[in-house]
Amino acid sequence: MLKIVELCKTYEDGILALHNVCIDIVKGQIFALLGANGAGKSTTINIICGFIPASDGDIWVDDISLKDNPRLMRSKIAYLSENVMLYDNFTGYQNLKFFADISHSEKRKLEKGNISENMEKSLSQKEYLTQILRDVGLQDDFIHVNISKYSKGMRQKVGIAIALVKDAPLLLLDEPFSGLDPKAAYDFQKLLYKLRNEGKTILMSTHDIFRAKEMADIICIMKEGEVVMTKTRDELESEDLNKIYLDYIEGRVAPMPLNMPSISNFVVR
Amino acid sequence: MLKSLLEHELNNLLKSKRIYTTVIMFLLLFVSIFVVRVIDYQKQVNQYIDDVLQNEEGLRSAENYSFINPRAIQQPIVFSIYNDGFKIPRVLNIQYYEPIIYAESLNEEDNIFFIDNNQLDITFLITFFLSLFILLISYDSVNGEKRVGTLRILMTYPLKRQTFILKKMFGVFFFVAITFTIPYVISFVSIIYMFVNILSINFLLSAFFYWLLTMLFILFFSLLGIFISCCSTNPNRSLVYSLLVWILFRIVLPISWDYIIYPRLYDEQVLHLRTIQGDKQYEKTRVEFDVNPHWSGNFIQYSGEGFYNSWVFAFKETMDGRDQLLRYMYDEVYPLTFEVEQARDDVIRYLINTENVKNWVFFFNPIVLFNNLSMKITGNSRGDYLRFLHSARELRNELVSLGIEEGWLLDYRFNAYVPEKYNVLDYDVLYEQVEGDYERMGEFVHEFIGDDRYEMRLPVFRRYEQPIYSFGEIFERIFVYLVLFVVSIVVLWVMTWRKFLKYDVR
Repeated sequence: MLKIVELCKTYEDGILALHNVCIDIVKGQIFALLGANGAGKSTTINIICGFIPASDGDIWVDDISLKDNPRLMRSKIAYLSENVMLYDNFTGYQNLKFFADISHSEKRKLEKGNISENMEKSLSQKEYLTQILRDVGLQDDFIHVNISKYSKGMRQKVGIAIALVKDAPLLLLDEPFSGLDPKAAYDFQKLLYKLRNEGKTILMSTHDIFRAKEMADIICIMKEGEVVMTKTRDELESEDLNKIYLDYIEGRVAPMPLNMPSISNFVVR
Repeated sequence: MLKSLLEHELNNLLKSKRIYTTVIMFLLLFVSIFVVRVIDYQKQVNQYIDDVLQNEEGLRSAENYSFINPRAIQQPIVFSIYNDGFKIPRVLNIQYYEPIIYAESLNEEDNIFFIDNNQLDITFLITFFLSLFILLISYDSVNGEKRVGTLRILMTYPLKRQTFILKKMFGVFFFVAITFTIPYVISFVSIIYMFVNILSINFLLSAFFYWLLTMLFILFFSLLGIFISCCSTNPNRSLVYSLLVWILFRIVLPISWDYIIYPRLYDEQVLHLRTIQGDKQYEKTRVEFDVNPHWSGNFIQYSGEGFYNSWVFAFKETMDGRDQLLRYMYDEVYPLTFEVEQARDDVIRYLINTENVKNWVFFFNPIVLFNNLSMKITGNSRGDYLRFLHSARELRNELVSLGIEEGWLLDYRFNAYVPEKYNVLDYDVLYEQVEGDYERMGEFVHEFIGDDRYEMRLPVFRRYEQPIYSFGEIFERIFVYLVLFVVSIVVLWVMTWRKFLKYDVR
C-alpha cells in the first residue's frame, strides 16, 4: 500500500531531516511511527502529503509514485493533524460537505468518472454525510453547530469523517491522541480499529508508546532522521517497548539493518 | 471543483465579522458620496436650465443685439457624480473677435457642496477606500488559512496550487465585485429615475466601461492582497505589508510624480508654453487697445470681479470710421485671436502628453491608471476640455461665417447700434450717460440697440447636450491603457502563482 524508498530531506539551511528512510506498509495495517521530537516523523508525513518536496527518494501509494503523479497520489491519502483545524465559521456538516465536494469533483476529474459514489446510489448527499458524522460518533445535536463550539475530540471525529468521505485508502495521522481525554481517546481508538477492519491503511506518528503497542501492527522508531527499528506486533509482544524505545533513542542499541526490496520489485507497470 | 471552492470561499467571507464591517463601511461611504454628488449635480442642472432659458431668450431677441452670449453650451456631465475629473467650465462667454476669454460655472458660487479641486467622488472612493478595503479583506487569505490549519488539509487534496490561488482570487474578487456592483447599479437606476433625458447609449457605454475598469481594479488588488499574503507566514506582518503597499500606491507614488518627477521633467517646458501664450495674449490686448478712436467711436473694455468682456460699438455718424474699425479688427485682432488660442491649445496638449507619460511611468500602479482612464471614459479629461474649447470656437466661427454670408458683417452684425436720438458721439459722452458705471454701460448698449433691418437667423445651439462618444471612440481612448492594466494583472498573477508554488504550507 505505502512504500517509502530511500527518502531523504535536507532543508535549505543544511539541516538533514531525513536520511534514507524506507518504510513498507501493507494494506489494512496500522503503522506507528515513534521517535523523539525532531526525529523526522512529521517530516516524513509532510513529504507524503506533498507539503514539502523530498530531496531524494520516492514514495508510492497504491503503486502511484509521488514523483510521477503527485496529484493522483494525493487523492489516495487522507491527513489528520494533531489539532484538527477546520473552518470555524461553518458547522461540522458544512465543513464535511465542502471537503466532500472538492474530493468528489477532483476524483471524478482524475479518474474520469469511474468512482463509486455511495451518496448517489441510495442516499441523498445530506443523508449520506449526516450518516458518516453519526458513524464516527458525532452526536446529532452537534452536527449543525459551528465548529468553534466543538471539543478537540469532536473535531477529531469530523476530521476522520472528512477522511472517510475522501474515500482514501491511506490515512496519515499526526499525533492523533495528543490532548484527547481518556474517553475521547478510547472512542477514537475504536474508530481506527473499525477503519482498519474496513481495509484502510493507517500511518500514525505518536509519542504514546503504550497506545502504539496496543494498536499498531508494525512499530517503527525513528532517530535523527533515520529509521532505527521496525518490528511487528508479534515480535514485540513479549518485549518492553518502552525500554526498547529508550535504548534506541539514547543510543544504547545500534540501529537495525534495513532490508528493503528494490524499487523495481513493487512498481506495477 | 472551482465552483465548490468558490462557493465555499464566498460563504466563508460572508461569515467573517471583519469583512462584514468593512462592507458596511464601504456601502455607507458609497451612499454618502453618491448623495452629496447627486445634490451637487442637481444644482448644476438647475443652473443649467436657467442658463438655457436665459440664452434662448437672448436668441429670441438676438436680432437686436450685436453680440451673442452662448452661456450654456454643454449640459453638466452626469458622470461628474462618479468622476469629477478635470473640471470643465460649463458656461462660456464667446465673442466675435475674441477667444474664449473667461469661463465660470455660476453654480460654483452658491453650491455649498461644490469645492474647487473637489475629489470626493466615486472614483476617489474606489481608488482610496476600495483599494484599502480589498487589501484588508485579502491580506490574510493564504497565511490565515495556514494559521488556522485548513490549508494543510486542502493541500492533501489533489487540487493544483494555482486552483487554490484562483479560488482565493475569485473569492475576494466576486465578493468585492458584488459589493460594488449592487450599489453601482442602484445608483444608476436612481440617476435615471431622478434626471430625465439622461438615458442614452452614450451614458450606458460610459457606465459599462467604468464598471469594467472597476472590475479590473478589484481584480488587481485582490491578487495583490493574495500575493502579499503569500509573502509572509504571519498575518499580522502581511497586514503591515498591505498597508505599506497601499500607502506606496495611493500616496507616495502619486506625490512623487507631482512634486519630484513632474517638476524636473516638465515644469520648464510648461512655463515656456505658458509664456508664449501670455505674450500672445498681451500682444492681442495691446493691439485691441491701440484702436484709433477716430475710426469708429470707442472700443470699451471693462472688468468686474473676475469678469472680462469687451464691447465694440459704432455710430451712424461715423460709418466710415466704423468700417475702418472692422477692417482693422479683421486684419489685426482676429489673427492674433487665433494665435492666442493656438498657444493655449499647445499648453493643454502638452499637459495631456504629460498625463499620458504618467500612465506609462506608473503602468504598475492601478490607482494612477484608474484615475486617468476613468476621466477618459466619463468625458472629464483634459482632452475633453480641449475638445470642448474647439467645439465652442466652432460655434463662434459658425456665427461669424453666417454674418459674412448674409452680408451683415459690413453693417451692424456684431456691433452695437446706438440710436441717433441719444447722440452719443464718443466714449466720454457715453461714460457720462451711465454716470461712470461700467456695468450700466453694458446695459445701456443693450437697451438702446434696435434696428429691424438687421434681423438674422441664428444657428441652433446644437450643443445643449452631453458629449457623445461611440463604443469605438471610448474603446480607442482607453485601449492602450486597458491593455497595460491587463498586462499588469497577468504579471501579478504569474508572480503570485510562482510565489505560492514555493509556499511552505506546513
